[in-house]
Amino acid sequence: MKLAFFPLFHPSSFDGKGFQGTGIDFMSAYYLTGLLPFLEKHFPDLQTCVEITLPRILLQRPDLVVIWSSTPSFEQVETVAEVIKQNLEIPILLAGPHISHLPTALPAHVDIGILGEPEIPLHQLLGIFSKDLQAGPMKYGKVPGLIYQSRGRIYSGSPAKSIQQIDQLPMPRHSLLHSLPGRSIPLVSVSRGPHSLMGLLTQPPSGRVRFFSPERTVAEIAQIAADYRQLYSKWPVPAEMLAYIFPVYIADELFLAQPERFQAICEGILAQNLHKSVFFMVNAYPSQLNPETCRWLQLINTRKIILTFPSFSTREAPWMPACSAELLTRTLDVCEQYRLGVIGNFLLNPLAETTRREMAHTYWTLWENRRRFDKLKAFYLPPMPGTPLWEQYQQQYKLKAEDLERLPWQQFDPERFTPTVPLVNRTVDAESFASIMKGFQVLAADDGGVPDQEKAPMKQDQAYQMQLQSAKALQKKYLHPGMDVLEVILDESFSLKPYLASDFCDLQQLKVEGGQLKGPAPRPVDLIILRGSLAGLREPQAALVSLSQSLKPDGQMLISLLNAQNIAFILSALNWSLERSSYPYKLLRYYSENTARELIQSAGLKILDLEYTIMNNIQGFRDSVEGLLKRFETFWPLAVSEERLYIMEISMLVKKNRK
Amino acid sequence: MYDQYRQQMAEKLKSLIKPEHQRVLCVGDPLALIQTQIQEQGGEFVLVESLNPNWRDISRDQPKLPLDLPEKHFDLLLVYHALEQAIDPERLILELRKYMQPEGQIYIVAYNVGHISTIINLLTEGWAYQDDGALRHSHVRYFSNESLRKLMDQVGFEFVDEVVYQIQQLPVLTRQLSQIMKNPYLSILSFIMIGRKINSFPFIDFEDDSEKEAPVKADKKSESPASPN
Repeated sequence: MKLAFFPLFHPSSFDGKGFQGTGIDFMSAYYLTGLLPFLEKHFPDLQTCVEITLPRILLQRPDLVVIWSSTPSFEQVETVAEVIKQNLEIPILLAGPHISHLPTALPAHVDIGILGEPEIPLHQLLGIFSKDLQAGPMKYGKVPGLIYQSRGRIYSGSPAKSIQQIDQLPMPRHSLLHSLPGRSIPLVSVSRGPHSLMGLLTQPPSGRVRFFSPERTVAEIAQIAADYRQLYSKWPVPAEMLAYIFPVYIADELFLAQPERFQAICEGILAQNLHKSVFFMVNAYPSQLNPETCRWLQLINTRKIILTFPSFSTREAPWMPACSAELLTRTLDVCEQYRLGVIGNFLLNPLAETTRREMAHTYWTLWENRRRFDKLKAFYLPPMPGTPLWEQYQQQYKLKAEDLERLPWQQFDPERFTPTVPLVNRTVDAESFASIMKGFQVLAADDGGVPDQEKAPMKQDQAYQMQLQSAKALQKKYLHPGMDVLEVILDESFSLKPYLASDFCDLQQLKVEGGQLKGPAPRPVDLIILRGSLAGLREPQAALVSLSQSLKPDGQMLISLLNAQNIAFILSALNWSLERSSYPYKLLRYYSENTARELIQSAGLKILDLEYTIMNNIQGFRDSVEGLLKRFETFWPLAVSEERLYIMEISMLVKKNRK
Repeated sequence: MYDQYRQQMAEKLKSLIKPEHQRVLCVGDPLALIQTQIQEQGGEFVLVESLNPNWRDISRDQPKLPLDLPEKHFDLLLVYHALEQAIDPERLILELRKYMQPEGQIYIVAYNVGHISTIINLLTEGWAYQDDGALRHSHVRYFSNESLRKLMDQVGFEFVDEVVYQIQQLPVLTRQLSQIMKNPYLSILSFIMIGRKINSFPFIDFEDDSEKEAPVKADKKSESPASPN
């Protein structure tokens, strides 16, 4: 017997360059990766296939088809079922979260709907159909967990049982998703419970949350890593690169819910060296992240946290923890401390009672912190059947299945959101809500000061290694045990302190905020270090004069700054993208060697030593410099020094000019 | 060059002032010509500098700009080379926005950092600050056409129109670079961005019921001012 699985996707998944593989449908289809091995284990002679387009299903000519659908794709079920029926005349089964929650929505051309977890009902159905492909309701009517058509009427049986020992389920076949581009390979460490957002949206319902054991989860990660190696076996990928290239996306929000289990999983990952084969992206709520959790996440090579949070509110949905400005800021702090990039998934409407004031408070907090997110996405959470939101909608609007077609499932479009669309929030009208959502989307579209390519794990790691090397070199050359050192800090990421042993020397810090030094230097010091912080001062000359008062008689200052005469900076200016360049938003003033020299002299300081960080070993850079200079030589006969354009950073050791 | 620019820009702004602009709030450099014009017509012209000279330093640590002014009062917010001097330009406009009437307009005048003169300065002198222009001594922020539009978007003003002030320098080189870099603004010294307050912008004055009114679409067919050149 040949069984075809047909996971349906919302039409927008096929926009643009082929299949995009995004959204709820994709995660819902992930369920099949576990279901297929389960069925094949029990029916060794069963032939299976998974196809995502209707022509491919027809081409496969299966004996039985299972359509898998979540709510966004559900409106297509009727159409595809009709076409399959007309062409193949085979039994059509329907499974997935939508039909499980709304059994009465069973379309006319579908013979059987499977309610809830499909393993046990499907196992029994295959037992019947393998003996008789023409079997009718008389034979399968008593199988628990079904709803079916018979003589124009819909019948339902008793509820099906759930699998109790989920660790005994065969390992998911992740390679099924390798043919679907667009997403990292997901892993769900908790199975089919009603109390996680992912469970509510993408998995068929079951009675209670069941966690996979740590051993089972680690084994699944090991399998994903092995799959990657197999899949890319013909690619010359060096072993040390694997941990930057192959992602494992922990898709459920309960991965961190039980600290002991989470720690056991981390220990298993480390014991098997899996953190050297893959990197992790982990879903989390702000309340789940603390220094201890983040330390473990960093140890297992987690690069991104997908942080899901609703509008700030003191009320808490039973299925989602509340968030506040303080909690979010604290979470971003701890993620920064452990070098975990954060992708913010902001849900605007999970609570009916969220007020305009709370939404505005959330907006401005996100606005303040927008440059701390690798990416920020604003989501409208539609009333998915089975979720508490659906129940709220039902109480308020008495929605029917056909009403769902009007709801924005994939992408919220404020221009198309009309006042007739039901809105669960009771404090704003639909029109105001649309403009609020638009505001959040504009905010979310702002990528901040760091280009996408620099958010990639390898780039981030390179930046960290460069910082580390630079700090070590600085320590070796300029610092001695017992020295009194003052570090003027514009951005924590430039701070030397994390790289030095705490007892090496007495290192004080002075921050630059709002363009000014935040207070005087605490006491005379041997060395003042300004790594990039000069550029954050509105009145640099006055600040240097003030700082030089804090030097001991033979004290020195080490000033390092980015060279504005560098080719990357010049190209940014030419492309009118200076403010979007990798130079952080905190920088207020820019310098080249000439202008820095003038500034230092005007502040009564003398340059003792000068160092350059030169980058001329990248072909692209050399091409840019040569191309630019050629243009200038042709049309503007003024000599420009080529060497200067390669200087990335300038370091100057200075002391007070006694004259 | 910049004396002439200031003079011509003031004249241009004067021509853009409409009879309904009776109450003008101005932030940034002084604009004596406009001030005289408004006051001679019996209107009101308030320079933020005269009320609170700390407007440049508004930031996350210092988020408020106390001004002894009535809210929802002014017809026009004139931002005259102020954004370049402000540590946090978005917050500055947000703070001033509350003094604007629901239908109030905004004129933002800002230097274009991508002008050819900045590129030449960069190459020859290395970002040397000057007495005026994009690299003026007091400047800490730098803008392009794109970033000005985005700023308006983020602080609750709808873009209506723009006027450019053009100065040709090294025309052949500029043309070449424009083509290579696909940058049409290399000869544009500054922009006047014209916008209108969006009343439905949902994140400001959210306790005020009047903010719940339906969004007012800008009249895109409003008179399009010509370039000074």
